[in-house]
Amino acid sequence: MEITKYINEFTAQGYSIVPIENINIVNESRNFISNYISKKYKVTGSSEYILNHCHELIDQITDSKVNQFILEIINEFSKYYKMDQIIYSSCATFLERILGPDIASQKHPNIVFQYPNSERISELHSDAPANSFYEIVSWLPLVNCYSSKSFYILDKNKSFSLLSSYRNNQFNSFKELRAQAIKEATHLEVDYGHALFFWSGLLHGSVINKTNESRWSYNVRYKNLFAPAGLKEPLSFYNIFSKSAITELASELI
Amino acid sequence: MTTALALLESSFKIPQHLQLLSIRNYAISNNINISFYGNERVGYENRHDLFIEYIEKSREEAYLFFTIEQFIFNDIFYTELLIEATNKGLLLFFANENLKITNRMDIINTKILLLSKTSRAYRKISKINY
Repeated sequence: MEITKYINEFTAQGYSIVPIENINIVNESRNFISNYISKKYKVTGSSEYILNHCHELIDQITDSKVNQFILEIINEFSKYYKMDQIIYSSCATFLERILGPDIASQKHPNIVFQYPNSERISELHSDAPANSFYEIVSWLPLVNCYSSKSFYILDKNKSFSLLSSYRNNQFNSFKELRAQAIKEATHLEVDYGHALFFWSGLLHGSVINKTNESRWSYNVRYKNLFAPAGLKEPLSFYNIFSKSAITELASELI
Repeated sequence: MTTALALLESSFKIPQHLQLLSIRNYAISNNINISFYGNERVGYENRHDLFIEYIEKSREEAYLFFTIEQFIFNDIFYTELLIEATNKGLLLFFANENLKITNRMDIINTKILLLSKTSRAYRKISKINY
């Protein structure tokens, strides 16, 4: 019953914030990251504290230092965890209802770290195109995300409407489109223990994080295995995540 | 470290220097030593004469192709040679797709993923909604 509510919401607006049904694996992976940071910088504190205040540990923080730091974490993390499995397990009922049992997942998932006042923001965009219009984007925050620490999204109708206006040259520049999008957007609040799922066609982006805490999140894209891949090369962009019994049977013949 | 013969895509729709960059990058990331470079005879790519001869003579333990497209003609994925090669225990790598094929299941999974490669569908949707 509860899941139906989130699926209806997803269908109506193109996104939904869903409570995680299995938090243990998310907690474990979050602790792994905070322990890595804790050892590297010889600091102590809860996972939540370390992640929120991580930017204070990096001496003279710069975007290139942060990039190197995140690559190290992703390399270490991927030795022990599969992010697509973590997110799927945490919201399996919702995702299977949306996608069915034949699922492809993104081959190279992301960990995003946005520290306060960094100008490396995600500009206004929609994933599709070039990604598949049959894709769902999962975004799982590792800390509570609110105001400028979070990001903004435009629901299905607003995304369609703005893109239509842009196509018809009703904006003089991208800057104007972005300003209007930010004005109309929903600035999301997503607490740890929840995951945001949104359709790849929605406009979204982030602004400069003006809070004094860092944002940490996982993101992975999923689609039905047999749905069109858009302009992405399916072999380099996706893994086969799961196959139904009927696909296993058909596989014997192809 | 695996040693592989690199086989470029010889219609050269992607220029040779870009193919080489991709192949070398893949080889470094996957700890592969490239024994030599080659390509099928231009205009006869789909016959795979060179690859067949090398398989028959067991000249290499692995092959590093630029792309899986070298086995796709007129939207059909030709798997016979790949099956023959993997049955002989050969390792097949594809730089552009970051893909490794070592057994029949890898070939099946590749075929399933290729089913979703429909950029025409994207264009149709794109025209309607955007």
